[in-house]
Amino acid sequence: MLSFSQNMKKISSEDVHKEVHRFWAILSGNLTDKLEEMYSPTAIVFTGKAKRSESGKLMAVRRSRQIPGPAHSSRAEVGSIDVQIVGPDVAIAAYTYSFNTQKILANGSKVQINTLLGRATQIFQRGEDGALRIVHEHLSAAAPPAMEKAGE
Amino acid sequence: MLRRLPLWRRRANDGTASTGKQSLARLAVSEDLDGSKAYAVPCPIMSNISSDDVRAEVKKFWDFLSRKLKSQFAEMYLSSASVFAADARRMEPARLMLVRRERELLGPASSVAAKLGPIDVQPLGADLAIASYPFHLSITRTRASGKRYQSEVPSGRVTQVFRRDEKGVLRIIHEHMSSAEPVSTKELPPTDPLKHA
Repeated sequence: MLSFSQNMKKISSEDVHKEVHRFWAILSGNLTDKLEEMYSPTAIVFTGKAKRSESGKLMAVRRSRQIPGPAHSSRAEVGSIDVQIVGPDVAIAAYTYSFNTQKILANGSKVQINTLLGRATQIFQRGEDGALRIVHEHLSAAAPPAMEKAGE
Repeated sequence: MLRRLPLWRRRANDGTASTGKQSLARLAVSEDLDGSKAYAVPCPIMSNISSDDVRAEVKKFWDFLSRKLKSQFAEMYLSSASVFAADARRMEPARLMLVRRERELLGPASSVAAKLGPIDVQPLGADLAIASYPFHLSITRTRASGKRYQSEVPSGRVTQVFRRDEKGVLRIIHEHMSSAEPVSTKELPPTDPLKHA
């Protein structure tokens, strides 16, 4: 657990908005920052279909492998982001999103996955180095994602 | 007149001397005996939220819900709390969700039974902690139309962010419930209203 130092800049809503957009820009393949660096080493996440929580770092490494190259960039649209500042160094971002991405299945075929009714909770904490990191994430969808065969 | 109080005075003013449970961070301003304002500052005796405290609150949450203890259940949430309900497309204020849950889940013909998985707790300072865990939920709900439905949530997942209020009580400030698998729902035959009156 990190403690807030008086010298640290207090977390602001703008800081959180910026990080949320950075997160989706990385996932969409539009930004080459490392996804795993957005997570605290102790982060816990619930991903879209997982029955149990898992380590944020491990999930980020796995998710990074699925980030499409420039030729197949994904598309994310983030709705209005509600930010609750719940401490000098902690904020909760909650919002809806849609995410359209391509996935290669085990048999080599490509599918297009459309998550239209995504819902996200991301809890950010400012680390001792001043960077905001996700300490907890819960992604879910109000309806199962639509899957269709992708064109070449 | 502003001045810092000695530690023992601050604790006595807050009424926490006997329990030592509450955080001194909440003592931002207190009235001194002579009516002047006294400012206290957080100090090293501030007690962090323990994992056991959070797990106890989670168990209370489900106990209140399954026993239909409406007011106790409502008090689990801070007035500013926000919620993603399992079947909702958008986030909503907890107070709205409570009205719906009260109507659908806490009525005489409704029921809630939950089995909780292991509860992960992430403390985030003296006044904040995150609980996350899987759950299996069986519910019978009564819609506004009067129709009753039985739903099984086999792979529920929940994130609950707890924050201490000004009295030191842990309350939910944000909740996100979801299901990793589709929820199965079936309509139940109508019941005799007198039976549940």
